[in-house]
Amino acid sequence: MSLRCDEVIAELSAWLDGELEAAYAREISAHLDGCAPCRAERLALEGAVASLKSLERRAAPAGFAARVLERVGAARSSSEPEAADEGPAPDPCLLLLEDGDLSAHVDHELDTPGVAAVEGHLEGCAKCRGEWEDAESVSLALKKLPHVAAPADFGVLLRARIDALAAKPAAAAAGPRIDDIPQVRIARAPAPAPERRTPWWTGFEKLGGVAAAAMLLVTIGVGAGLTTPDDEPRPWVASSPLTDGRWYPPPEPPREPPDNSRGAARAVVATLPMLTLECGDRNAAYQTVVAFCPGSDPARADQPDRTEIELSASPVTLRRLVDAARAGQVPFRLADDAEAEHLAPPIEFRAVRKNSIVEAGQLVRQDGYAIVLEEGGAQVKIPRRDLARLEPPDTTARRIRIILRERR
Amino acid sequence: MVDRTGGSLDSADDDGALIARCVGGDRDAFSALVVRYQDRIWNAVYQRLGDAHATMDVAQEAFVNAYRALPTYRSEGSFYGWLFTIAMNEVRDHRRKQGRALDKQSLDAPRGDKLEGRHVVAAPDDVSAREDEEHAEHEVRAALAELEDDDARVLVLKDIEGLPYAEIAKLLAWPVGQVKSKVHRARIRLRRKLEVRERARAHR
Repeated sequence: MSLRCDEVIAELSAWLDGELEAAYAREISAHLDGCAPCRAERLALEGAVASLKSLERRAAPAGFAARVLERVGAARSSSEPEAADEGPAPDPCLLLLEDGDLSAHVDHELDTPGVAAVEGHLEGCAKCRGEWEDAESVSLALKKLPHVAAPADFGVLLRARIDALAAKPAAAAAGPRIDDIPQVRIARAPAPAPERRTPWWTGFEKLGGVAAAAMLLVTIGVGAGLTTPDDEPRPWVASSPLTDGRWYPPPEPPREPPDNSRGAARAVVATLPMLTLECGDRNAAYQTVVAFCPGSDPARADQPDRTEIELSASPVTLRRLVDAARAGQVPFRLADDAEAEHLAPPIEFRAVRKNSIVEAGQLVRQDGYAIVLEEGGAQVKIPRRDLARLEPPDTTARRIRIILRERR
Repeated sequence: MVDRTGGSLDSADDDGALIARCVGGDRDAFSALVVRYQDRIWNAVYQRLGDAHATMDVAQEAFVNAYRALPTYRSEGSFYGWLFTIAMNEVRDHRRKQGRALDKQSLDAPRGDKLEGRHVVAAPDDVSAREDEEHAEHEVRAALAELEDDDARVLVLKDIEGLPYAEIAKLLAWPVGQVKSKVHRARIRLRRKLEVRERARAHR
């Protein structure tokens, strides 16, 4: 495929400046070899460039530069950022500015002839020198900004949201364009609604099932006073032992039947970070608790300083949570110890014998002939022929209340 | 299962494979993509917003939106470029929503915010030098926040991420020449903003 003359003419300037990719530049060279009109164009352009360069040299007598530099410096500090309109005459400085060659020079992105051209110009042009120094100083200042890595919990929180998203396939169905993607935002809590309303967490139990043992969703029913008007800070967030003042977007506001009158009152306000349970293996990273703050709970208006959260989790997770709370490993306490015990029973299998006797305990072993349960250190072996059925532990998610903070 | 083998984590081919797995419903594959790009995205967003809270929102939104839009992702461009564009659109929307005033407020708020993520560079011992540096950082970020969207994007890629022009051109799907002139104009504009801020401070 050979190049057309208009294509060659359009690229001539770049070709002369050595700005073209080698293969393309060779094509243009080949075209020039065989095309007299384009060669003439090239000569004309080269002539123009040469005369511009010679103009610059003449315009830069020694001693003049420093004076101009001062004046330019003074002018720059009082003038507008935009380069002034220099008029219709071909101004090499303007060309340099248009092309971005000064910054390209700062960035070592020019080829050797390009560097020579810019440096030649800079030697004689105080204005461009100032501009080049500006570009370099800005570049340096930006490079000096310390790189900040995502916080450790970023991936975990995100994963929770993605899991929640995947649990609602409808949301991910049609592929929107980048700009059309619906935005999910933190909803600021409106003033507490005095009316009774549907518990905001409705619908999250399902989610817990989908996210399975991997993650634990914490739902919070918070005391009144946790919601502040839009323009006020939210001191409670910063003061809660579990939070660091961060605001997280909700995983997805609960999808509920539209309720135009009170819908906004259920907006998810924030997510609290992390009750990271230090239990389990490395993969337990997803056992992080993501807490949502639904706004104030009118029912607890008398206890504004009590932050009670209700979390929904499988018994396995609950068990760990309860143990961790009792051992003081987590910064919260159980709202009701007895209730907790009840809600998080030991994880055990139930073997129902054909004679209706029920054995319960940890499943130690099972094979084709028998199953072995262990309870309190004692093992029970139940032959298969005696076994009516084996019931797995109850893993349905259940709720537990814990107290995040309580001011006395 | 999440692929934790490491290996050729930077190759675009690997991105492609992970993306294909994501589209197929493998969320672990997406987690792997998140792990690979979260620091770059976080940094880019943070430098533009100067606020860790907002960064958490915006960076998360970006990844969530990327996840949603993955089925429409065409592998011609680089994945990071695509993600970066989503994140920067997210920044733009965020700023539009918050309004300039609010942004300014958060940027001009007193420091002491411990939520800026993990600083990769160790702080120097000298406290006053550190303060000066922090002030300089703050000023640069504030000026960056005042820039137009395109200007800020190109500077993030060029000076903060340190990418060569050719790479930026690929990421933004611009001609290299445009990148070159954009970088320069953006730098000059940033410089002017810094000068204006400096003067305003001197008058205070």
